[in-house]
Amino acid sequence: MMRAMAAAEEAARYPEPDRRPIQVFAFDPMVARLSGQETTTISVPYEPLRPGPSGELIQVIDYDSVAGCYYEPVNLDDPRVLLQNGLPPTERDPRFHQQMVYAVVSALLENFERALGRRFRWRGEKRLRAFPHAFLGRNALFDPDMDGTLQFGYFRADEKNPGRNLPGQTVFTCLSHDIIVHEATHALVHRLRERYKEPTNIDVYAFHEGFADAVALFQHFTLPDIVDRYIQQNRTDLTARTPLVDLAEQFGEGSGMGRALRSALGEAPDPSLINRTFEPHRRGSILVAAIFDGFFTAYQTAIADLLRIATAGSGVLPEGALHPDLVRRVSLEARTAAQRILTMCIRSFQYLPPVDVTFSDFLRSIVTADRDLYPSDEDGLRAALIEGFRRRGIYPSMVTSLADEALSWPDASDRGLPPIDRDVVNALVLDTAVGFRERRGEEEQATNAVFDPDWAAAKLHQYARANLDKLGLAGPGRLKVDGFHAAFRHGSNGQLRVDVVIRYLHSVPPDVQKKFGAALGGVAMRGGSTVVADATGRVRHVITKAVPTDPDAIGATDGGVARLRGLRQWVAQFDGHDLLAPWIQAESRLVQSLNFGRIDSAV
Amino acid sequence: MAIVRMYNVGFGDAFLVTVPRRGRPWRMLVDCGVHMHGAGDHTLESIVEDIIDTVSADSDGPPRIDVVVATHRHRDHIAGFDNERWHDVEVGEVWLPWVEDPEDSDAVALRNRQQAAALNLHTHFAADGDGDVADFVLNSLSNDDAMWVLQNGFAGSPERRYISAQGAKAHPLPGVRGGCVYFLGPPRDPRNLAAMDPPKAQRWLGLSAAGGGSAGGEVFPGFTVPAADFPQRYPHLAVSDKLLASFREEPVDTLTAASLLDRAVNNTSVMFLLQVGDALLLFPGDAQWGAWQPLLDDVDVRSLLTRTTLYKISHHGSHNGTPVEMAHEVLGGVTSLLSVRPIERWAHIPKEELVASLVTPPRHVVSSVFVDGEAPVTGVRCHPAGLWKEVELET
Repeated sequence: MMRAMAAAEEAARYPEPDRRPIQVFAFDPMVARLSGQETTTISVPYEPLRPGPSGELIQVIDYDSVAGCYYEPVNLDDPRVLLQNGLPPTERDPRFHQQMVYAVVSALLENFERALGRRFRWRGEKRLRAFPHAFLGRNALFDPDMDGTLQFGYFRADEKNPGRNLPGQTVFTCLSHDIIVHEATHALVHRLRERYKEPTNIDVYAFHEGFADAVALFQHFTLPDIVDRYIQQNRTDLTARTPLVDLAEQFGEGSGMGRALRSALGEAPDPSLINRTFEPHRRGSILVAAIFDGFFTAYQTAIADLLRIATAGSGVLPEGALHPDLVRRVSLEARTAAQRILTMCIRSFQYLPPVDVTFSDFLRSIVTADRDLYPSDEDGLRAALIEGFRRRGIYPSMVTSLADEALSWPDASDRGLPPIDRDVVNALVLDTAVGFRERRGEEEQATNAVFDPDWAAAKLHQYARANLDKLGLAGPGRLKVDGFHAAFRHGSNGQLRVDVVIRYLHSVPPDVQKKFGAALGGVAMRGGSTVVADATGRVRHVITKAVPTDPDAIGATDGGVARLRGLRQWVAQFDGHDLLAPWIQAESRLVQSLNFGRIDSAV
Repeated sequence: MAIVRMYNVGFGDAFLVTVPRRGRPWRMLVDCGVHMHGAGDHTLESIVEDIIDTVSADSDGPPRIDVVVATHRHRDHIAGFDNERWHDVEVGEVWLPWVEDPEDSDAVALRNRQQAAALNLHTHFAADGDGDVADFVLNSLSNDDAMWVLQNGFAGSPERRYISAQGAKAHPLPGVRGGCVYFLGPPRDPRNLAAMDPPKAQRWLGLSAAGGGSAGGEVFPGFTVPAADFPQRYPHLAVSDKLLASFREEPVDTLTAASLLDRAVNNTSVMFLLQVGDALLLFPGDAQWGAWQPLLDDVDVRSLLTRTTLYKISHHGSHNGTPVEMAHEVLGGVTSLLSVRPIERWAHIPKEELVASLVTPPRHVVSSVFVDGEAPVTGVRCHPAGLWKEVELET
């Protein structure tokens, strides 16, 4: 006891660090070797760590199911490790692998928190557990059913076609920056919208995959020295094939594909391709290509003046190396644009419906969320993104034009909703405000709650019951409060913007579910609403997915009936494409054939 | 009049089409085989014998079949041709998919890819002791003796025709009055070939060659902590055994690779529409989605398909053998033939919804399997011992 107090006193004499620098491979060991040790040091928020690393939100546990043993966990707080910014990158020491997984996931979490405008928490205060060497195989996965774990595989590179690897060398998926981010993003999306694990339309899993790929690619642009290098190398052209715009090169080549796993560049824009693409990873790639089309356009616009300044107005770069100052400035623009678009994508979650997301919902939510903060779109980023989507055939549904204001979710003021309970709004706002504490740490986890979540949920449930029709929650079935929070953000005018978000989940009655069970291939029919209000409790937007009011009524035309029809059509269409369908259980065929179990498509 | 006889082979196909005429009737045999897992109540030998006996009775000369069609190389469609008795049967023409053409280099390349995939997959599953999947793949491994008969066997030096999709173009059918044939598949258009490509090796090699040979503890010598000691030394990292055990579970993708290969071969099926007077008989082999798509997209072929009067249900009634669009929108009041013996492990062949749609009046389905106390259907004749059923069509 005395010693503990003495140690605490001692520690108090030094200012607490904000950041923890950690060395990692910028992409993966193969790219690092080819480019001459491309490793980098990333900085993540400081928190005291126990061996693992084991922190407040992430825990790395190195169990190898092939060997049936554990590997020694790294202690990042050991002075000898701290002195060199973590262990130096190597394939041979599993403790470096653990360190890299921790660092990359931490950096990703920070990016999400920044965009979401609030502290991130896992459901039930659990931690995300990552297993860097879980199994032998060319795969890595996020398993939502096993308590949300990240599992990374390792494998021998292809003997015949190992790409730029040694034939038969061991490839670790946990050393690929992109694979770590991809899988962790699945976990984050799952945390934000649990029900997106239900494949209720053709876009849901494609959204999961595409979003994870896009985030992984944009994370490349958070590394200044790496971006500098490729801007110099390709003379500001970001669309050249470099590790910057490729996904998981070592994994792809080591698996015998002869190229990176996927890429931001995609195929040439073809609006009809999306209608012919069903496999989630491929369909997701179209989403990624659309987002990056927008990014490349925004980047070109952003650097046009720099190029003119640097070239005395001609805009044509001279032969030879670029001036390092120019490279730095161009690189900064690239990173800013990337960060801004990634932030837009993450912020869209504020408006995404609780179930059954479509690419169209995603686009509309991006536009709405971004318009909240930047009403005028002065740098044209939003326009670039909308155009990118259009060129890939992703059209928003139920809108009259592609104009900004038409794409935004409609204002809810004409729904005549009463304001949300003042006490609940205050509690949520206070909770988010208190959440911005100085630092993370395992022991900080159990801070006193500002309010009782059950009380808030009950109040919000009451609110919904009183306003079923206006919230789009009419119809038979069970209503549940799926989540609620407040978010703080800075708008372009420097003002603090506070939003309160509530999500309701609406499940159809069991007998209806049973009636359509086989036709729906095991997919649960659910609806719900995302309700966005301001700090006074005034409801600004209601985004709904209706459930059928009366599933027996033949002529019924409400939104729920249309959704049920859409769901049945999708299941029928899926059956037509799914190879496994004839060979597995009908009742769960969709759920069995589609999951996050693969980093790559089988087809 | 045209008569289609469906043999009760079990999980497989064998159809004898007969067009009576003055003198010897015109005969066509579409497939003859059964799946390893789906043997029926009658042996394949007894069925081959019945086919040959039936055509032997047509005349005093040697037995003769005008056209033999082998829709694709799966065992459940050709195994029956691996039989000595075919040497004495005179055949006019043998129709095979273009992928079997020995002089077509594209075909040879494609077949080699499929064959290599089948062999590799089979070796892999057999080595792993996964017998069920190995047998599943075995269906795709060609039956060389049966293929030899189809390519070189039969009496009467039949002409071999290698069929590819020709759209809504009628081809003459010598010997049948008012008869013609439309060849609808397999496609040759490079855009549609992907549907026939076997799964890429890297998808499943990852599990065998690349997966093996790494014994425990070799990856990071010197860093291991025995599983028993770890929770004591690092209690904060302890996790449940159930979670750890789940890492070892085989992902579903061995089956995926096998299914991919199965589809690849199914989509090489000869698909044809036989016209005899007013009757249009559609035989799509085991075509799956990739092979149907170009047909449904072609307006002329689509309108041709709407006139179908008899439909041999593709791929034994599986989910993806008959596109929903085909069942709901294209087909009219057809009689459908369902050749399948339900197998427990593949409980969803035939697919209930598909059958339900095809029995909505005035449509009806004739199943190859006999049920005790089955009510007689007009226009359908049954073999007394349940060897076959026959459907008579007005022409």
